[in-house]
Amino acid sequence: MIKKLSLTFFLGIMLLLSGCESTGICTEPVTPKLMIGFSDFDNLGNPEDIDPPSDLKIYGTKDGTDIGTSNEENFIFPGLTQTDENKRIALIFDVNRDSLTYIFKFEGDIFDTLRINYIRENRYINKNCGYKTVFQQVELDYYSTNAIDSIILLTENIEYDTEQHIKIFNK
Amino acid sequence: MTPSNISKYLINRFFILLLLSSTIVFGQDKIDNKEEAKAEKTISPSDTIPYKYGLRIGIDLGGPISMLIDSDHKLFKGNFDARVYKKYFVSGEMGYELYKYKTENLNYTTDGSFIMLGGDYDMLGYTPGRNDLLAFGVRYGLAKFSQTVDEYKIQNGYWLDDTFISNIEVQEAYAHWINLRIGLKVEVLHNFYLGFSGGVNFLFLDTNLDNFDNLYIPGFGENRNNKSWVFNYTVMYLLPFN
Repeated sequence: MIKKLSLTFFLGIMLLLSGCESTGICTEPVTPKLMIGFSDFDNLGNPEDIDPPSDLKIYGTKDGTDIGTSNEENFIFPGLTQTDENKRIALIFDVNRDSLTYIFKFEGDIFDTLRINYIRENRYINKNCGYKTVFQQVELDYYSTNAIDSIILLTENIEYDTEQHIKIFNK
Repeated sequence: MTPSNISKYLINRFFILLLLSSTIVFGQDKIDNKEEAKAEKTISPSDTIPYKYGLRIGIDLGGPISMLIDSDHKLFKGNFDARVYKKYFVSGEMGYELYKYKTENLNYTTDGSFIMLGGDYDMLGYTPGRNDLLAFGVRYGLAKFSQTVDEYKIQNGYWLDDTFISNIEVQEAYAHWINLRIGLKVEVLHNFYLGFSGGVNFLFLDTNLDNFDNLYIPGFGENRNNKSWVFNYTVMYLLPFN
C-alpha cells in the first residue's frame, strides 16, 4: 500500500510540475523612454494633447551634452519623431549619463534645446531581461524658448513609459 | 532495547511518518492504517530473510560528464546510504558546485557547497544477499554559496555610447529545500553498484540578495519558480556490516 501510494504521490507531483518551463524571452518592461506630449499654449486651462508640430525632428548630439547647437554635424542621425497612438514622442534615455539633452528642430529651422537631470538606478528584473535603468529625482535643468513656450515636468520618478513624463507647450 | 535498536526504531517511525504524510494528501490514511494493521498480524516472507546491512558510498558521474561538456560548470558530489531497518535506508549526499552563466546581457557565477540528508524506502522488494533497490526518497537540502554578477549590460540603442556595463560584488547566501526522488541501485559487480535517480526539488527558504536572485543554487540546480529537476548517475561501493 505504502509502495503504491508513494509512487502515485511522486508521479502526481511530477505531472503537476511539468509544463512550467520558462521560455527565455524577456516579457517585462525594460528601461523606460522619456514620453513627451504636446499641448497648445492658447488653451492652457485645458491642456489637451495635440499632435506634435509637423516637421518636428529631435536629435541627440554626438557629444551628448551640447546646448543650443544648430549645426547638424553635431547631431546623431536619425532624429526621433515617431509618435504613438497617444500622440506622444518617445525619447531614448542616456544610460551612461545623469542628464539627457535633446535638440528640437521645428518647422522653419527653429531650434530649441531641452535638458533634464536625474539619478540613475539599475534594477534587476529577471533572468531573461537582466537589468533595467530607472530614473529618479528627475528635474528640468534647461530649455530654450525659440519655438517652445514652456515645459512642464509631470513626474519625478520615471520607471515605466506607460505615462506621459513631460508636456511641451509651443508658442 | 539496545541504543542501536532504539535508533533503528526511531528512524523507522520517522519514515512511516513521512510516508503517511504523503498518503494523507489522497485522503486514504484510514484505509492505509487498516492495511498496516493487517500486515503486522501476518508474517511476510521477507521477515525471515536476513537483510544485508552495510554502508554504501558513491560518487556522482554526472558532474564529471557535465564538466566535459561545459568547462564553466564544475560539480563534485558524493553520496551514501545505509539500510537501517528492513526496507528503510538513511541516505544523503554532499558536494561542491561552481556554475557560470553567460549571456549577452547577464553573466553571473554561483559557487558553493551543499549537503542533503534524508531517507529511502525500497519499493522493489528484497532479494536475498543483495542490496538492490528501487527507492522512493526524501531529502532535506542545504547550500551555502556565493552569488556574483560578473557583468550586466543595459543597452539603450540611440546614443553613441549606448551600453551601460557594471557588476555586483559577491554576496553570500543560504538555501534550504526538500527533494523528492525515485532511484534505482543495482549491483553490477560484487559490492559495486550503479545508481540512477530522478527527482524534483522544492526551495522553501533562501537568502534575499541585493538587486539579484538565486537563479542557480549548488546542489539544487537551476531555480525555476522555486523548483528544479535533478538527475543523478552514481557508482557506489558497499562496505558490508554482516
